[in-house]
Amino acid sequence: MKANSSIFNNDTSPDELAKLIKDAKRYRGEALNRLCKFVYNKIFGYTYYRVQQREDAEDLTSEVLLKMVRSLKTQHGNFLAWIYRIANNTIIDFYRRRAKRSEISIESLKQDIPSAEVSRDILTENKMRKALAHLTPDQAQVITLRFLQDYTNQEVAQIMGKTVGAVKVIQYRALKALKEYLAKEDYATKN
Amino acid sequence: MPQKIDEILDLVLQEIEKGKSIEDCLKDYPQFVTELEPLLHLALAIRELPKPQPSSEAISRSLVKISETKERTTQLVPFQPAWVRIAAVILLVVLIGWSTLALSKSSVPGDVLYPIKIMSEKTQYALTLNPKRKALFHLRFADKRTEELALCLKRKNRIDKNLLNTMLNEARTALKFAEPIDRESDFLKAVQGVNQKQLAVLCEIMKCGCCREDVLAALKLCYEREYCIQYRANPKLKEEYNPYYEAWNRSCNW
Repeated sequence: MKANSSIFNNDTSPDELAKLIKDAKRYRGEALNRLCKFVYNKIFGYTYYRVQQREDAEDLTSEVLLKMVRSLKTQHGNFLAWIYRIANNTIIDFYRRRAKRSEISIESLKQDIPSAEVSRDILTENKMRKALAHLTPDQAQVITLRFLQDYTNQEVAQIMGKTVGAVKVIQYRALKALKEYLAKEDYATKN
Repeated sequence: MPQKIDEILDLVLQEIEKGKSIEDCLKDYPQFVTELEPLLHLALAIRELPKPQPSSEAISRSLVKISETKERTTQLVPFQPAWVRIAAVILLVVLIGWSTLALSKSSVPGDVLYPIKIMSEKTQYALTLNPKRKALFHLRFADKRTEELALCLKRKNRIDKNLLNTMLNEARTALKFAEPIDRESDFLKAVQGVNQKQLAVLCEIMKCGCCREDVLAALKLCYEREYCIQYRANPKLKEEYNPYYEAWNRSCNW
């Protein structure tokens, strides 16, 4: 992993992060608070495009942080890979719970569609969220990490526990699937 | 140059990151332009999406929840340094070992814990170098086997042939290690004590109706030993007729 890799932005160097994690594992208040803020920024950015509502992203991020604090003492190995795995599983559980409760009603989907006055950026954000929801979990994870969180292929491979070659294949298939979905959506909107 | 489309896509993405235009990058791969161009535009469009910023209220709410969880977790599992955990594990192992050994002391042949009892005895014995102490160990083993024989009779109402032989052999080995034995010594008195105990247990076995040949032979041997011990303690007895002396000498190598 690169020394000044994008993984360690938010003004936190790899060494600082390692020390922060070590101190936080001993429940040192200040260290744990700093680690939580660092992780919050990372995970919020990750969950934001994976769910339909901002509030859901905030709740999921909070849930991920709670899970992290509960099992931080037993964490070993790559911290970011571990935390993203928790985040990914939490998102999968979220969709599973929603599917059980059948909460994705037509009404709720209508609410997500922005009105004509809403800016072009928000429209694209929502389109992106819906498109990501139609990808497989692996494909959605690669698109989020590679293009929305700017991780390199090596970093994504570490986080997902896959080879770089596998990440490249998923990346290609994910972009292709997204393009096809968005094309269909545009066609449906125009007609 | 890569041949697979997923690798070409990744390579072109890296070139674009360095500042090249899509068109320039695709010049090297004319056969893939139709397929790759829309994918690259899409990838760039995704990169241009706004990076979400979490609200400070949401972060604060989350930190309050975490602080509560942290307090609960700290109360439940206080921090323990590594040496405390290692010491706890060692203590646990010692306790388990000690209680297993304590439980195995009352075991008899056929019990699950009996091999542990024998192994512990053998370990103690192996660590002893002094012949006098080794003799004492053999005497103690002879005494234990005698008790086990009595327990076997009481619990299982049967006599183990191997146990009977071991009981007699341990007494003989004890004497072998203790040579030369002073006739005034406490050791000789201890040997006599164990021999009399063996006699009592064998008589008890006979009373229970177990008149097997090996039990009868053992009883005879114990009587011979008793006589011989008495002779050892009092050499004047040699002047009298001693029908068992030769047999005893043969059996216990005295």
